[in-house]
This record gives sequence, structure tokens and C-alpha cells, in this order.
Amino acid sequence: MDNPVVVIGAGFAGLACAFHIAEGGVPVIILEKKEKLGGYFPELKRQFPTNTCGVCFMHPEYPAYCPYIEAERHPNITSFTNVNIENIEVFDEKVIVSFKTPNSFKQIEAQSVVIATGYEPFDISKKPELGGGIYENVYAALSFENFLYDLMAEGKELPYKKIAYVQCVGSRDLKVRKPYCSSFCCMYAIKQALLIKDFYPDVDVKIFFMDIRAFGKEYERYFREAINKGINFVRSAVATVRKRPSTGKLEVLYTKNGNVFEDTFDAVVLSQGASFDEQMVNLMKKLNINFDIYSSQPFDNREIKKNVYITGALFEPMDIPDSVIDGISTASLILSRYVIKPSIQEPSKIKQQKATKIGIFSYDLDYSTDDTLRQYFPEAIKVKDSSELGFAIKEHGFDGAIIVTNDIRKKESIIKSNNYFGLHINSVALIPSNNNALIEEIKSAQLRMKQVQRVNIHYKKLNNRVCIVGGGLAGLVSAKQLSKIGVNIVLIEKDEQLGGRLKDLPSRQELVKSYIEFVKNAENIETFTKTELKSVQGRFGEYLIEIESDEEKRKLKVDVILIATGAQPRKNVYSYEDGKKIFTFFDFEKRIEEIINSNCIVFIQCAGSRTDDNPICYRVCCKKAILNAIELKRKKPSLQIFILHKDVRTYGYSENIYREARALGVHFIRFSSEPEVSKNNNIINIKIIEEGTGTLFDLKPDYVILSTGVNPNTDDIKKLFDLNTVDGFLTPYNKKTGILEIKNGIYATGLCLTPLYTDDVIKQAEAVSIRIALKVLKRVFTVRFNTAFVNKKYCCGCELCVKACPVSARYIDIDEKIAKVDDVLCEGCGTCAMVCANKASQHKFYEHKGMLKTIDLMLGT
Amino acid sequence: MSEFEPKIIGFLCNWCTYTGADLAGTARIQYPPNIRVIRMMCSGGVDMVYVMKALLEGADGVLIGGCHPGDCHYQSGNFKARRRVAILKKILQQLGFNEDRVWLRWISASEGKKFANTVTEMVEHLKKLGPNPLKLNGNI
Repeated sequence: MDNPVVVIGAGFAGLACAFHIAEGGVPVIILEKKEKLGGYFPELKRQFPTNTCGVCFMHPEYPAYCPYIEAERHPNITSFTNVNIENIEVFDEKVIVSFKTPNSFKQIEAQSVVIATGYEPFDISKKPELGGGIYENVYAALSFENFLYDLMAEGKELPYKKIAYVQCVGSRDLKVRKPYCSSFCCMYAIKQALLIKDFYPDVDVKIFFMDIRAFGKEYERYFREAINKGINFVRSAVATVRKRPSTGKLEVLYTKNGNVFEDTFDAVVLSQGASFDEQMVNLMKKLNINFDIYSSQPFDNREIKKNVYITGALFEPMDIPDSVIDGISTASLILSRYVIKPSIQEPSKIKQQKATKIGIFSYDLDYSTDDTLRQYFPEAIKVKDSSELGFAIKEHGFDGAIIVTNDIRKKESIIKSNNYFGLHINSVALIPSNNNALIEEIKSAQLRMKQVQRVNIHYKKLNNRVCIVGGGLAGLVSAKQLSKIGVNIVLIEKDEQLGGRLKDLPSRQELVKSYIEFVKNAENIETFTKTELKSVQGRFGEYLIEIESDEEKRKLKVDVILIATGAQPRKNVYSYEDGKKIFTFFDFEKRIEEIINSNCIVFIQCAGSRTDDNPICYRVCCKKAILNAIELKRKKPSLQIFILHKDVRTYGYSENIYREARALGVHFIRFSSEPEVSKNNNIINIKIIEEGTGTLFDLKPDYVILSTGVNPNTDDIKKLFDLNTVDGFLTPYNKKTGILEIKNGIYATGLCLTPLYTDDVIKQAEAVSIRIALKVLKRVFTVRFNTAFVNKKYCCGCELCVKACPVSARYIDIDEKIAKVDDVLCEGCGTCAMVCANKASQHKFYEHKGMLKTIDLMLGT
Repeated sequence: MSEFEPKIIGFLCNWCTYTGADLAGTARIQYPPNIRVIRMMCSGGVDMVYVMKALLEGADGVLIGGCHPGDCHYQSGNFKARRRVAILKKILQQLGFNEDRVWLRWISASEGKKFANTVTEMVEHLKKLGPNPLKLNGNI
């Protein structure tokens, strides 16, 4: 137990994994090859699909700062940078990692090792035919993005008027030994194009692509937004990029529909894919792991050797939301073997009052500033760390403290850790040019602390009970994982039996059965079948739920609610769907024996989706249809199979099965206008025009399988919890990193959140359970200290504050007819205090009178 | 008589601009010391009464700093601030008070340089405008 977990690679997946393990009370050592933590993330200031930076929501206890700052600050995390891994030796009970830092050679005995080395951007100089590494205005996408940020920050003009993006550079390309799809290049190219359009509307952007793989949550909408904003998408294969010496412009030669075209551009951006770095390949060799990037699943399992895990983009190329889930689920696998002991702090009992005796502390200041500080404030005390600070405060009997320090991170951590002393803590921004300003700052901080009320943290107790709504695969996996970690569970299922949709699928029955078996035998899981959730009251830590079955009604108290209501296949999308010869992909498996005896099969992809009415990609259909086609072709090679599609979205290593299907002779026909299907005396006739060539195909298939996607079961839940949905799927707290949280205390997983493959559902459910467990197992939770409060005397119940609150923490008490604050939900922004006309709503530490006096004092009047 | 040094009150949002100001300090970026910073949790929590109060009490300028649009920690606080400042500026105009003394700027946590530049720019601008008329004779 004392041995740490070693995480190799501090990219997004590695850090997500490290944080959660560390929060669970296990020491973590992070080894990073580069100079600093964060991977490629710090270079990406804006991310799809929000076009903002949303990282501060990633850490278990939000709000927080960027993950790489948190990693440096976390008491359970030690990090080494500039590390070169020498060897990894796997033993029965431990793993020994030996590595070199610039100064020394170290060996660490670890209980488990997580390899999250991720990817390196493809080196574009390996594609000289596209001008990579030859011309200065042919950019690699990552360097172009940095170039763009610099220009935008300085407010400069973009020197190019016409820009081309070439997709799939270093992915889906056998010539450079990159058979897989890198998953994220389409999306970042669209993001960059949108950034260009937003900041420089006159610039022309053309994207040359093979398939646009916008398969993630709401990515299809993002893609459509790009089309609407005038970005040109050209489906083509780019042959060469040459520079014309006379003009200095770039000529792009591309083939479209069998014809060759030429276009000139000022700059060309190559959307580089993911490639593995050599160090990682060597590491894998040392571990005796062979992985074949030409297969559809190079790694079967995330535990590649005993106690050695891989996670993140190394497992399969993936974007940030997926790697966050992947990293957290790996942490969940590791933590489920231990008893989690999150750190618990005792509540302080000091009452609120104004500060009377304020100490000034200099913390790690440079020499000259420290000198000036002492000149004006001879009583200033020099401290080295927060424990010394606490000691000094106790010794002198201060009830307020001003900390002057150079380092923002230290400042924040001191403030955090010292709130437990029940003190006023204030930090001071340094103004280096003028020492008088520093003195003024400190004086004004002193004055303000004497004016406003001291704030205090208080705690509430938790019951250690979680309610899971939905007993499908996602619900079952999370129930198993949570019960293993030691959380008590109430599992509610609408149907008579557990197992959800997958219990009807022959290929998944075994998997579902094993989970049901566990759930039935576990002591800390209460299962209610044929039961529905009737009402929900309360908030995180104190939800009161009412469940109802035919026999009885019950009321239960739970801390957290996990929504896993899943989805069902969409049916009757087209009027010609009859369920006999034309049916949905979900029935395919049951009828395979019947289908195999026919001669011609047609799969229609994107049936009723990716249209203007329903702009969503269901993610799973392409791979599923191709896998089904391959299965049929293997069993009966003479069978003719047509797959009609809009784009083939086989991302990651699934690209390999796409290639395999084509090699086996499956026909792919791309369409843009809906296929015409008619039935005449049991003979089905499909007329379809291939998009590029305009050829008309007249097909007479025996069976038609419609890939219709899934419909999430969120209607009731949405009303019950007052949640938002997009395309029927629940909207998370943060689209990039806080994907599993819906609201404070309400989590979601599985198909009600986003369409996913079975494997990914398991991963997501594991990830959500560790996030819940880390919160619930703390037994108490801290309430924010600077929340809003209401002065009952002045409140008229006008509801202005209720409308203004961004987190719906304000509500009207029906009995008293005044507004109240839900101090659990309150994030302490002060907006409600601002809108209150009577100043009945006030913000702790920012009370109205105190603020006005502070302004007076600052102006010296 | 020495040169006029304007006094600026800065209401900075805790998540973006205050951290940006802190970064300017730690990175030792030079900027004039005329600003007095009041840390707010969100620019949406800045009561326009505070701005008026500061101006009435004789501040030569008020700077409100928030996160970039879309980056607000509380989702929409900075938009609320933007609306309020727009209204306040109209009111100031009606009163015959130079509304250019109130600045609203988006400065993120990583833009220490931008914060320093903004303060420098504002001080120069206020020097041109001269002292707050309310400070001199108590009326506009």
C-alpha cells in the first residue's frame, strides 16, 4: 500500500488519471519527458466544440486551476520532468521503474504503472510532395495554431488571404505506415478555420478532406456551423503542393470525382495526425508487448501486463473528452483494488466577526522587496511554508493575515489551506515598479479586512448512499464499481429484469449476465425492479427521492443521483420500414441466419440523421455496419453487400476494418440526396445517385438494414430534474472536461449522455463511479465560504436574484415569501447581491456597506 | 505643481483579470502604480453603485476587468457587466460626465502584459482628460 502509482506521461489522460488516484489517497509519481507538465494541452488555447478554454473544470473538486498547476500543488503528487525511462520490470507484487533525470538516475518501486505517453504530431517533412518542410508557408497544423494565437493576441492582420487545409496528413496513409485514423484532426481543422473566420472574415478557407469525422457529442452541429460560416469543404485527394516561383503562391493539385483540378493559395496547412514516439515504442519492446497498428484493436485490454496499464491516446488516438474519460476510468480500475481514504478535515467552530489583529507575512519574497516591506511594516513576519504560517498566527493571536508573495500558486494554496484556521486571509498583487504601490496595496487590504465580515467554512454530513437510475449496462457497471469501492447503492430499474437493451443481444448476453450476477450478490446494493422514480427534492448530499412500484411507495435519502437511463433504437424513421425485409441495425444480430441465405444486402447509413432536422451523428453505426458486413462476407463471400453512406466515420483503429471491408469486396456508395426506396410485390427497389460521379445505381436487395441510431430516454428525467438536452442527449456541466457532471450532485453516464460503443460505455461508467466515490466517501463536504446570504428584514420576494443566479442556487421560500440561498449550490459570484434593489441579498466578504467603505478608504476620503 | 497623477479604482474579477494582474506583478512587468485594486469574485458582481460611488468620491477613473466573452467562470457574469456598463455610460453622458472615465476590459489570467498595457493606456488617457471635475469643485 505504501508504494506509489507511477504515471508515465503528463498529458491530459495521464494527469486526469494521476489526479483521481491522488485524490483517493494513494501517492502518485508523474514522470514527464518534456520540461513541463500538460502535454500538448498548454499550446491549445481554444478547443472545440466550445472555442474556449475549459480546463479548470477537470479536477475532481471544481473550480480549480489548470491541471498542470494543480499537479504541482497536490500533496499526493510528486512530479519529475525531463525524464528518460530506462526500464520497467514487472514482478508479481510490484513494478520497478528506473529512469534518468538530467542530474540523477532513480529507481522507484511502484504498485502499478500507468503508461499515458500519448502521441507525437506527425512530422510533416515526411510528406515532401505536400511541401512539408520545404516551403515556409506550408505549415504543420499545431505550429499554425500557435502562429494564429500570436497574431490574434497582438491584434495583427493575417498575412494570407487564401488558406488551404489538407486533411489526413500522416493518418489513413499506408505509404507512411499510418493505417489508422487520428480521430481529432478533422475537428481541430474546423476549429482553426472557424477561428480564422471569426477574426479575419475576409480570408478564404478551403478544407480538402476525404471524410469529415465529426463523430463526438454535438460535433456534427459544429461542422454545420462551419459550413454556414462560409468555410469551403472540398471532398478530394490532394496530390501535390508546389510553389510557383514567379508569384510565390502555392499551387494545390487535387483530384475530385476522377478529374484533376488546380487551385492557388497563399498558405497551406497540413492537418497532421498522431504518431507514436520512439521512446514509447522502445518501452513497449522492453515490456515484451507487441502491438499491431494494422489490426482493429491493437490492445485488447488496458492492463497490458500485471499492474501495468495504458491509457489515453496511446490506447487509440482520441480527443480530449475521450482521453479524460479514459484516464479517469484507468484511475478507477487501480483505485477499486484499495480502500479509498480521501482526506477529511475537521470543521472550524469560530464565529463570524470582523478582523481586529492583522498579521503581515512575507512568503518566499526576493531580497529587495522583502527589504522594502520591512521598512514600512517592521512587524512583518517571514515564513517558509503554510505550517510555519499557521504556527506564527497561533503564537501572535492574529485573526487576520495578509500574505505577500511572488508566486500565485503558492499564494492560492496558502489561502486554501489556511481557511481552516478561520481567518481572514488576503493576498496582495505585486506591483514591482513602485514599492509605494505595494505598501498602498497592503494598507488597503488591511483596511478592507477591518471592514468586512470574516468568512468561515462549514461542513455538511453525507449518508454514503448513491441512487442509480437505470439498470442497463452503464448502470450495472457503475453499481459494480461503486460497490467494490465501498459506496452503498440504490439501483432503480423500470423493467422487470436488469440488463437493459443489451440483454436481448446474443453477443452481449454473457457480459451483461456477469454484471447482473455481481449486482445481485453484492451486500451494499439494494435493487428495485419495476420501479420508477417519482419525485426528487433537495440538493447534493441531501436528495430525497420518492420511488414507486406496483406494490409500494418509498422515500429514500441519497447523496448523489446517477442517471443511466440509456436509449433505445430509433424505429419507424422511414415509412417503408416494415420490420420484415427492411429493419433497423438492432435486429440484425437476431436475424443473421435468415439474412445469410440471401443474395444482396443493403445497409443505409445515417438513416434520418445528419439532416437539417436532426443534425447529429450517432457515432456507432458506421463501425457496426462494417463489422456486420465483414461477418457476412466471411461467412458467404458471394453475398453482395452495399453500404450507402454520407461519410464513413470509422475513427481510430476502426479505420483498419474499413480497409478490410473494401478488400473483401463490400461496396461503398456515397449519397447526398436520400435514396429512393420502393416496394413492389415483396421486391425492394433502391435508386441512389452516387454523390461524386453522379452515377445512378438501381439495387434490388433482399434485405435492407437501416442504421438509425438511438433515441435517449431522457424525457421523464429531463422534467424531473429540470435539465437541458441537445438532440435529446443530456447537456453536461462542461462539454470538454466536465462531461460526466450534469449539475452539482447529479451525474450521468451511458447512452443518455452520448451515443457510445459498449466498450466505451463500460469505460465511462467506471469513470463516473470513481468521481462519485471520491465525493461521497469524504463523508462530509465543505460548503463554499463566501456564499450569498439574505437579510430577511429587507427581502420583498421580487425574484430578481432567482433570475440572475447562474447556478440556480437562489429560490423563493414559499412559506416565508422571501428569497433564500442554497449554500451548497452557491458558487459565490455575487451577481444576486448586485441585482438586489433593497440590498437584502448580500455576498459574504463583499457586503455592501463594507465595499462602499473600502472605496472610501482606498481614495483616502 | 507636480504632474497630475490620476487615481484609478480597479474592480477585477477573481478568475481572470485579478490573476492576470497578479501575473503582471510576478512577471515584473512595469506599469504605473495609479491603480487601486478591489478583487471581486466576478465582474457580474460589480454594482454600478460602487462605480458611481468611486467617481463621486473623486476617483479619476474606474477600470472593470472581466473574463473574455464565453470564458466566464459563472457562465454569463461578464455579459451582465457589459450590459450594466453600457447603461451606466449612457447615464453618465446624460449627466454631462465624461463616460470615458469608466473602462470595461476583458483580460484573461494569462494576459499579464495586456493588463499592464491597459493600465498604462488608461493612465495616459486620464492625464489628458485631467482630474475628475467632482473632486475640484464638487459639481459637474
